[in-house]
Amino acid sequence: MVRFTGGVTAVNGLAFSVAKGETLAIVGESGCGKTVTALSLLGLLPPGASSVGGSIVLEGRELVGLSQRELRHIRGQRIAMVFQDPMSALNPVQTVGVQLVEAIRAHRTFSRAEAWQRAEDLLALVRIPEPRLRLRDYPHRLSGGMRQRVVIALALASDPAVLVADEPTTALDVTIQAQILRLLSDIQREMSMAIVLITHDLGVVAETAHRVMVMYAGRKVELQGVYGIFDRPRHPYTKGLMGATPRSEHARDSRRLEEIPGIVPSLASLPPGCAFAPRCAIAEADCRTVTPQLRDIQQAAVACHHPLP
Amino acid sequence: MTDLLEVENLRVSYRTSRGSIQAVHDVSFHIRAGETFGLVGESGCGKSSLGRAVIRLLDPESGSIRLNGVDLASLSGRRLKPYRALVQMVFQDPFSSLDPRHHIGRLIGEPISVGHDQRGKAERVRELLVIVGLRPELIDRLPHELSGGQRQRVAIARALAVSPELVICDEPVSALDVSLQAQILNLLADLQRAKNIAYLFISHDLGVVRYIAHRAAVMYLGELVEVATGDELWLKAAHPYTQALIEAVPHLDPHNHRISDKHILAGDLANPARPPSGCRFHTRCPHVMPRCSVEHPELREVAPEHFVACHLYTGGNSQ
Repeated sequence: MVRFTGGVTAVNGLAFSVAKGETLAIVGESGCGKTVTALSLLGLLPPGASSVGGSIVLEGRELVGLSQRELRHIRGQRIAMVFQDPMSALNPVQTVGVQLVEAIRAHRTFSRAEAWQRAEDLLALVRIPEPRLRLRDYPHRLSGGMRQRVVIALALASDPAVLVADEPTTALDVTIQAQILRLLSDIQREMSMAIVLITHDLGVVAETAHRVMVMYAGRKVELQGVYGIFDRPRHPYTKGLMGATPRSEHARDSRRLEEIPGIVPSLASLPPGCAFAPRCAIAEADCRTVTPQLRDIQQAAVACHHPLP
Repeated sequence: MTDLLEVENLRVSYRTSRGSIQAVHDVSFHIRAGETFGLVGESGCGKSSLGRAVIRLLDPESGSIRLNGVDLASLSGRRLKPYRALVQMVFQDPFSSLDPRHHIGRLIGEPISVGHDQRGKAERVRELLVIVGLRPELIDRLPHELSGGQRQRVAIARALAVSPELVICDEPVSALDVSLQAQILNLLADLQRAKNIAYLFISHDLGVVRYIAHRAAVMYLGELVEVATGDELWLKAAHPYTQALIEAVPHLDPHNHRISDKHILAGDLANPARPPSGCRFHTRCPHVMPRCSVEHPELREVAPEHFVACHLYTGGNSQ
């Protein structure tokens, strides 16, 4: 559970796991708590927010309750993060090489020469052409796609077991997005890394995730394997998101998309019962009074009183 | 349907400290009354510059922009004014396009011509709020009191206030969550049916354009490379760049579309200041032929209403 000062609960009762070599996608709209979830994994919650209870276990070790110093050691070493905007993760007044070398030497003892060689190898790993030359570039000299590759190289500097990627391709053009998603998938296979991918884009989920967790108003509303969730979404919100996304494979017979009426509720004033009920087409009386608990239906976990067949 | 807008050989360039950059290069297309014409491309392709030139926020370098037969490109100042009302614009970020100090009534009422008295104006604003699916009580609110989706509805109401024949929508849903995107796209489609408005719909998202546009064009480095109906473009794309865009769009179908099985276009977008010779796409094209770096391909009709600028379709390979 994550709470902001003032008592707003951003994330509540969330449980999930991700295995070696697996991609877990966390999908949801603005304000659903997906980014707060990612930040709490790394102990990077903003001032005013605190993790209240709960447990995060990485490779058998409990992270909640560790000191900042202990966390800093794990962060970057075993778990690393890639953000949406590559410029926010890069220092504009230092060359790519200097930043990589710093990240490499932060966690392990390498000689200067070894670290520079490793920096070059990392740029090659993220498929940057002429890596040795690029080490001397400043971030502003690079295109958006190349910058995001550098950010990924920085995150990989210490062979993390888990990579948390928060909307890593949202700021990129679609052809560049495909390049970066392929890169993440290739690297995952080579390093059998676990990826927690946070995104609003169901297309990105369908193409890259192994398992999918859908969040709404700070809670997990559905968790399924990628094939199951697209073939047979159980939560009305999941199905609504799919209907609202204009990427049908079929010839178009209507220019109307399926709408989810209304807007996402404010976390400070959640309705009683199921938070999605006011927007749900099949909500009944119990939905407006009793908060649905997660339950297993075949291969799916769903928090809904009336899950879809 | 008759042609409402005819754009011919339009060029737009920017002067920078390092010389001039041609953002739009010899672009021609037409939009019929009541039609949605989509314009798709990646950053820096010139699609926004094209939209801004049509509404004359930018001065074209050459070419013509005929609205109902009158060339707007040749008009300026006072003579352009009567036509301003006929073409309106909706921007991506409704927050930056709405003055934060003005209440909704003023924002929507501003463009309503004189001739309406204050009460008539307020009446009209309430009517417009209802038309775009908002409660009329919002008339006294300020932009920051509204959600992103509500603000975009206000921006649409403002554009409708003067009963335009053409609305240029520049990425109108890109900043919105998907559930709100669907609401706004449906609203635009409903308004079009009710008022026979034409849209020039500019977007980076081919999936969205395919949904909303009757016809659409794909733009690459300042030029149109393919023009067709929305469905034809999506299902029978002919230009290698359009094909690459569709391949790159993340599909909602994990059985048939996984990132590991894709043919992904390599390379970065070329620098618009120094476009490649011949076909501008030849530096990234998987089907590049020797003539592509030399000869510039023109748009040619390959099927009814389907135009492609590519040497694969010009027949009789010269090499």
